[in-house]
Amino acid sequence: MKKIRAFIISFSAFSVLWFLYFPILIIIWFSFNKESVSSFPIEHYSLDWYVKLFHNKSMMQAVRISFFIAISSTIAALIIGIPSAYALHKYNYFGKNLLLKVILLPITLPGIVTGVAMLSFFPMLGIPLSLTAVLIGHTTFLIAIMITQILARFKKLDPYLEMAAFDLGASPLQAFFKVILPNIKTAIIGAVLLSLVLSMDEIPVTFFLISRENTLPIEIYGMMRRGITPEVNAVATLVFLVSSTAIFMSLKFNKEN
Amino acid sequence: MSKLELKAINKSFGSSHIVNNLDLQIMDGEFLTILGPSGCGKTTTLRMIAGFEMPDSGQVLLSNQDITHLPPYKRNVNTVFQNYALFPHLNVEENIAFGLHQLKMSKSEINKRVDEMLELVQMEAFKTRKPFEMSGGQQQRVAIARAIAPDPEILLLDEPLGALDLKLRKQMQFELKQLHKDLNKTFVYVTHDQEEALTMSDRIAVMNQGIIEQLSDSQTLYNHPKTKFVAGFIGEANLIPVKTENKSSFTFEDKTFDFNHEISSATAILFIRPENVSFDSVTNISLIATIEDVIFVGNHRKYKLVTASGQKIIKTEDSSVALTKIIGQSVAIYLSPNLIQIYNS
Amino acid sequence: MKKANKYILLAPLLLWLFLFLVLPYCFILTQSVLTTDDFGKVIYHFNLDSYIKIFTNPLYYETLTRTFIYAIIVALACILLSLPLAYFIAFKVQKHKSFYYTLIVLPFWMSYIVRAYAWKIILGEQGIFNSSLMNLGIIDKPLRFVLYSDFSVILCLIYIFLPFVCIPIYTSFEQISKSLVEASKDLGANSWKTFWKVIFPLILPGVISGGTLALVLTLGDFLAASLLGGPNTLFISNIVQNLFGTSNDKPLGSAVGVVLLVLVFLLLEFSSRYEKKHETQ
Repeated sequence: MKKIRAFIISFSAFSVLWFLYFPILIIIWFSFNKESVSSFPIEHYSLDWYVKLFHNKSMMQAVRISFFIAISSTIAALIIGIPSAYALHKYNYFGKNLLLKVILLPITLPGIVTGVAMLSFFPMLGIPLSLTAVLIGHTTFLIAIMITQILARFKKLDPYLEMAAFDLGASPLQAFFKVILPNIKTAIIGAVLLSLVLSMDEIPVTFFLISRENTLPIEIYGMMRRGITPEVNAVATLVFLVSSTAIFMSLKFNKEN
Repeated sequence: MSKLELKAINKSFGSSHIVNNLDLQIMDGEFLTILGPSGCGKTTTLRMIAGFEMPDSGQVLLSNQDITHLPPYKRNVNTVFQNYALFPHLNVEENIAFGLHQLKMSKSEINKRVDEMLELVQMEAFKTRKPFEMSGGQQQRVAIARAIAPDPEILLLDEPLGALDLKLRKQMQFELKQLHKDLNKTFVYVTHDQEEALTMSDRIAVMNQGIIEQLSDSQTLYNHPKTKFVAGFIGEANLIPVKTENKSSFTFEDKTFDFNHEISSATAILFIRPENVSFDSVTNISLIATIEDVIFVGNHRKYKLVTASGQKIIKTEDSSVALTKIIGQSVAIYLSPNLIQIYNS
Repeated sequence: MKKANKYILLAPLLLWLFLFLVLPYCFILTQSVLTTDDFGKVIYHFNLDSYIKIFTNPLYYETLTRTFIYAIIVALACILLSLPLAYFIAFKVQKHKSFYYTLIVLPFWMSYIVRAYAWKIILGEQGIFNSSLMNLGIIDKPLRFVLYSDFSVILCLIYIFLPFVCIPIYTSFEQISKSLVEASKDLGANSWKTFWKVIFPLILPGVISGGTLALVLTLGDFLAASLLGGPNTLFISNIVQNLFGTSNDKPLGSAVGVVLLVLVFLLLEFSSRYEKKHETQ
């Protein structure tokens, strides 16, 4: 009886795992399909679609734009996020808990709500629908990621380290760069990798803030709505490979703490 | 000339008045320990000297300069922390050099100084090790070297040996004392371990509930404790309630004893060290007690005595003295007036 | 250490959030009680028409209800699928726990689009699902309803949100100390009873947390429906999408958005109250 139960549990568990990964494997498999119709089984294999991908001008443009947005918004989120996380860890503020909740709103609320809110209000700030708007939108939710990750790391940091630095003559600014920053380095790297991946995958907010130039996920979204082209399989496979590498690295960095 | 002076220092946290109108003068080159139980305010006082806390009122003067409101990085005072607080991302050499970089020394000067410090704490072989690769004792030495390297006017030590095991602690006590002698620098040491304080210090400030109850050298503190708290806190003590007759005598066990004292209340506490309780020949005016227990404690033995009224008295005696008494025996004990203190109860 | 630093450090964050987060959300609230003129331009004429429309026009409240029901289905399915996997890794795996954990976490971080797209391939008329079934002789014509229908959208959402639900459930399994299970068995309960009386109550917070997440995510999702849905598939977020897009009725869209917001806040509030009440760690 015990063995049957153990078997059922293992079987169910692996079935679910299979359910999780099977579709991804299908995409990867089909990206090597020579035919343009996604019929099963596959007759011929080729790398044609990967080649075609690199010649697809609007796709490549979208990749460039996505990189640009991801890197810029990550940098902006770092600049705002690091000092904020430091301050939130070190000091007590009136309404601190409320502030923490507000910071997390872009993640707590559905992206569509944040997207339409920004869409409606940005023109009032003189920001038209454009990549600038997208950048601001991405930065806003990346700030939440940065602060969460870095604050968590700060909590594990020995509070005496900063004190020792002051004691030995370092000013607050010197102590921050010489002692605190080196000891939260891995958390920052992990947060940066995470941010890059999330930005490159973001759709709901981006959807409402772009005008003519597409980011990669929006471009893929458009392609998918039009139909199934194997180019999409190739893109999807590449995105999967890059994301999983980045996430592996990010997890590894966080584990080293 | 006092190196450091604390004048009328007050510090509260919320509704707790942690340091209460404290005055303290620390002499140049002395090894002064602030001794007291947890919560007495000793660590807070040390932090106010280092600059991590600011007093609510009062002044902190270093070599007659008012440093009360200076941040820690502007004070020529360095601290050895209880948990070492070595920078994990730097090796031993870089840790020790940290304070030197702020002093605008040349690279070669820094290297020379670091080597000097390594030699001082006998850690030359660990120059390139990282903190996590070292034991607690080794880390503590590096912490000491790091604090001394910038040549501060005062070295503060916040219970630095608390995390070490007994044997290592004893060894480090000795080394710290030696270091103090070699460097001729003012050390301010904080601990709750009275044995540690007695061994190492030139003077000890016994603190309790925010005030200094007594400031003296070890011998005076031990033999002539000024208050009941100090008597009980330092070494072992017999604290016996007695009745006061008039200004020159007290009664205990229906016997009257002469003693010059100035206690105003009707009852008082008599203090005598266990080693100062002596066995006497039985006379009709001597104190009688029964031996409840005899305990062998290695180099001395402890008698647990109890009087007719149930008062417990401890007597200790060197193990080299022959044991002539047995449990249950009635003995006469003598309390020498020279070795007694009387306190308000 | 200057006291001013305390506020200077936080100033950029406060400014940013105020301009780009707080004000937009406030504006949406405001916009929901405005109207548009005949050309679709928003005019500042305060009224509650949008809200009235939502609660009287069946298009809106039926879609809302339907989406909510679908959300519950997605949440329940995710929970049911998560339980064996989470239990397996927490209790039956000794050596490579972190490897399995990474396996659950990995899809969580992968492109939504990619994962949704896979179902297009699988469920298409010539896709794997239909082709396999036809080859096996179970059916002779491709099943049309599996793709471009509510079914495919729900399936896709279950697939995408599964890791979101599995992770908190796994975490709560992990927090159960082995000695509790042993104590229960020692006191005479068999494995089945142990599960229901000891383990399940302890993982309930994780289940609620994960389930709420799946609910909130489904309510806010418009992508899956637009990729895999049929002509009649309409989720509440698609309505918002349309109203801010082709239908161009920003006040109404804002109102639906606000209703969505309130719903999400209520769900999160209930969830956190429940978790606080049943805190065991």
